Amino acid sequence: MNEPQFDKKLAIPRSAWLGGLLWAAPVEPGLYGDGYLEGVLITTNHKSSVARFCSAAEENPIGILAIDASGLSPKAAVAFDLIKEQDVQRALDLLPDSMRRDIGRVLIPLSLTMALGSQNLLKDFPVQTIPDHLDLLGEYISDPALNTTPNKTTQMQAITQRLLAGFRLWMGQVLVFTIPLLIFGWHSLFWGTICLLLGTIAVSLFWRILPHTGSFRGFVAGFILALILGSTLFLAGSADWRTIIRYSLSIWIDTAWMGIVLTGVRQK
Amino acid sequence: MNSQLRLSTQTALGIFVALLLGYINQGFSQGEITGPVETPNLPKTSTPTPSVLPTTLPLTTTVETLAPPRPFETLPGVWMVQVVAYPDSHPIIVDVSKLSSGRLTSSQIGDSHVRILDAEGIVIYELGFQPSFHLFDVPASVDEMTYFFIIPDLENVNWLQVLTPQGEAKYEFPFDE
Repeated sequence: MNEPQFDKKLAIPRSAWLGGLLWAAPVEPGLYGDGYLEGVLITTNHKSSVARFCSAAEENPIGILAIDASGLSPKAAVAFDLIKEQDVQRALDLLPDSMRRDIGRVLIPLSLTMALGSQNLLKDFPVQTIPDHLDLLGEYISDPALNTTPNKTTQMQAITQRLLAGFRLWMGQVLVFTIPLLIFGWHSLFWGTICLLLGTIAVSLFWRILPHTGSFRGFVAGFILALILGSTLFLAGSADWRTIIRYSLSIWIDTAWMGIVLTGVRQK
Repeated sequence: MNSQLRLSTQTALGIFVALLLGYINQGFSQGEITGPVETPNLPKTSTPTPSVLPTTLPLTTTVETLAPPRPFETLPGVWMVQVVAYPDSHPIIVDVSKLSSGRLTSSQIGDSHVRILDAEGIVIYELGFQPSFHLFDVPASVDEMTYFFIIPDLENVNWLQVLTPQGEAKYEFPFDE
């Protein structure tokens, strides 16, 4: 994970809603905003999120601290375990002393509170939980007394968030895959897209129980899917072994690829 | 270890993966044939007789005159395959029946094929043909076209496969005589 940089002034990014929605859209981790900081708002280094928070906080002395989460949105980053409470604490610790002394509060968007465990590492700072909804952000940022009740993380919420984030990234990959697959015919496009979707669902559903970390999960999930598909076709006796191998290989590669995609991208 | 790729790298790699998948998936739409087509080891007969069936015989229209099969041999124990091809759907193998003797259908240049596969999916016999759905003498188009093919009776065969651009039909051996 890239540590946030504080030795240079970072330009506020322009929102890229489509890129931020269908692809991981990373910006440089660090502090966005300048001058006196009355508070620091924590978010991931997701381009649209940083732009959105900067826009909401532009009339307030609030800095936006972007933490490296592979360019995924806060919700997606939390769902895929790409950001943890220790990352937030480490980023705050890296702030220059002059800034740390003056920080009156740390603003945590509701979506990120799911990443804050029970360790309460942020006890040195007054934490204000703010909503993610754009219309309410300005009001909460202006008034430190307002606070939103943090969500209590449930397994079902995390799975739902992973499925939603996975589905968005799947749509982005469909755009990338369409023309190359279409070169080989409609059947290739159809089956390739379905395999990508099945891989996305499998990796998203079983993210936390799959072994190892990062993109290796996709590799493992794909292998299991390929075994299941191959065994089913073999037992059904509806295809010869070459067809079984092709189908299994296809779903394995697709799922492994989605495992890579779901871990986000590097900024540089 | 930072396992994430850069966005540009991920996109470029994604296109490569998609092309690879397309190549793999191509086998699903065009059949499972990628290896060399082996020459069938046909039984020989020493008693040439006149042809008992035309080579490729559409029932509802005329087609181009086809080259006669070579060699001009009538083989004992051949299979007659009746196939219906459609312009917008996969073909159907209507009937496969044994003939006491017959002359093999000669292979034509075309985008469709009749293939005999062994248990491992290897092609051991192949015929090419070009389905046509136009009546040249009326002229008009038809919704389906029936073809008859005469194929040899080979050993260790598992599947009969008919491939057209619209899809495939498979028929599992042993055929009912």
